[in-house]
Amino acid sequence: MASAGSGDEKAAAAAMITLISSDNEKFEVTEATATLSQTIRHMIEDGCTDGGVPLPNVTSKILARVIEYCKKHATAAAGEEGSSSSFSDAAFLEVDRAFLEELEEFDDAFLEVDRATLFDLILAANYLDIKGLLNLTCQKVADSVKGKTPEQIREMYNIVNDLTPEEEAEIRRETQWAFE
Amino acid sequence: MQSLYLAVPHANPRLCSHRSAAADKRGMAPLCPPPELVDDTVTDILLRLSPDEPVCLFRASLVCKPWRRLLTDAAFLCRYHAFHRALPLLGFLHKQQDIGVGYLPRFVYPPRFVPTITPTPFSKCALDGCAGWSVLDCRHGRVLFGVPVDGTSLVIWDPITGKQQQLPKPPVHLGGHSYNAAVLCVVRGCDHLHCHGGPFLVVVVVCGYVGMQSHLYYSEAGAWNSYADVGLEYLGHREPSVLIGDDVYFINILRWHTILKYNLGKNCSSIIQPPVVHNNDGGIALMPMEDGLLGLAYVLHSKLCLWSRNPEEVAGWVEFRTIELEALIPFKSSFSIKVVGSAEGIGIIFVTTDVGVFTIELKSGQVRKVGKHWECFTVFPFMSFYTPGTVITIEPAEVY
Repeated sequence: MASAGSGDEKAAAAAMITLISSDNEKFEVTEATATLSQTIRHMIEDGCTDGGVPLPNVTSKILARVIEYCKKHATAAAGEEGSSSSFSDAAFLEVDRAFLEELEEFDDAFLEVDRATLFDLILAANYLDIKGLLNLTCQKVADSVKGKTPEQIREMYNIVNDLTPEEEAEIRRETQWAFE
Repeated sequence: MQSLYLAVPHANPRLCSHRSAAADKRGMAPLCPPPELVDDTVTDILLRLSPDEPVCLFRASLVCKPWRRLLTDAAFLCRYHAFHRALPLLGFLHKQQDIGVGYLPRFVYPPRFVPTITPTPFSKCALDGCAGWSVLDCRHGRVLFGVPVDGTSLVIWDPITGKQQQLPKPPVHLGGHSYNAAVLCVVRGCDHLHCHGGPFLVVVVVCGYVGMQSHLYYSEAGAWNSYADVGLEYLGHREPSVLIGDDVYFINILRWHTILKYNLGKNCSSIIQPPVVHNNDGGIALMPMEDGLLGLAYVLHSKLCLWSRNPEEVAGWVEFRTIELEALIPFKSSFSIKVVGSAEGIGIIFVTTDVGVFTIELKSGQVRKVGKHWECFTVFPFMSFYTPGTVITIEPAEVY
């Protein structure tokens, strides 16, 4: 797929960016991978990446996972762009479908993490402004709430119930159907 | 950039006191809890709760005050509507009898509201006091009924708030005429995601001795506007209408399924013939297509046939898809399969068989049983967001 890309794309792919985690670990990534993050894209545009990009809110453990996600999705995006110019419509659709299936499998496996890691990934995706990763991880948490009672949700996510017993009773009375 | 989370989660009482107390009770060491999510990310998570299952939203709203505040906040709800882009299907109205033109009702049953979500906030007895009421249309969160009092009165019902409103008498005696009626949001170009409870418009197209007339009721003005001689003569029959742009399409199942197109801006009408090969026995439903054209669905030999209007074709219609129903929905006799409705804008077709009522999602092919078998009826889908902060008032319907 990469051979189908233009010279400019190759040049962009060759440019490397250094990301520095909160625990001072350095990660070398291509610009194509790094720019999935809007935050880093803006830094590159402003020419603020010389000497590395410090990410004081992201640990090396989480940054490694985030880079894994970005690499996969950047490759898929480049593959799709490259293939569109060299395949017929039918072949393109086939390739497109294969890409999507592969990405879906990757995303499913990527989400097989404990709750603390999932939360850290959400916070990192939010900070780095990576829309795809934020959507994926937030949807996973939203899906986990499905079919759960308020008590179970509080327990799952360590949330303290700060509603007074009177308020809670009132809400339950008004919307009894949701708690039967 | 805001701080993302607390490095020492135990320092935050919001985070741990509940879990620690629970763990202590069980005599266990408290587990290391996940970090706290900042408001931004809580918003991002709650935005993704499915509108197809309002119960999730209501249960989440009882988790804690910040979640409740967010889930009932107008700005959040605006984002929530925009994020999901289409109104979810919450139920459907089922016409149990029909008041024929100039005839007495054959059976005086109330119409029924059948929820398609479980658990549901809608009461099964919401319409118990409405014997003889005829469902005329349902759109943008409202139901339009024809009530056989003084000829025919028109009543609007909002199933979300339970509010009913009788419209002033139309300038024409509906009981003595054949007519079609539609209810819709009055705002031109509205995406209908946030307009619930806003101003509405009722269109009544009447066929009388002096030709066709249209009568438009504007809720803001509280008055009817009438237009005489709006087009061709047309025998109306109360089936669900379809709104596409400024055009309302009504179908006449008594007259070879001819379609009346009524333009709201110009107050004029025209007749469209259905596809020639369609089947009169398998039911028929109009639907809007994604490209803004009129679509139509019917059943022929256990196949669901989907057509799209194409004025450039000689026949005026193009069959763009057929779906074999044999492997998709259960039935004992293929003669019992009928198309009974379509949910505007979300690509769902309602099909009834001698086994039950089913929805078929055209994009995914997903099938759901949503009701028991009835002999013959028409479905008016009800689509609306239902979010915390709105409470359904369960009051018996007022009989006029």
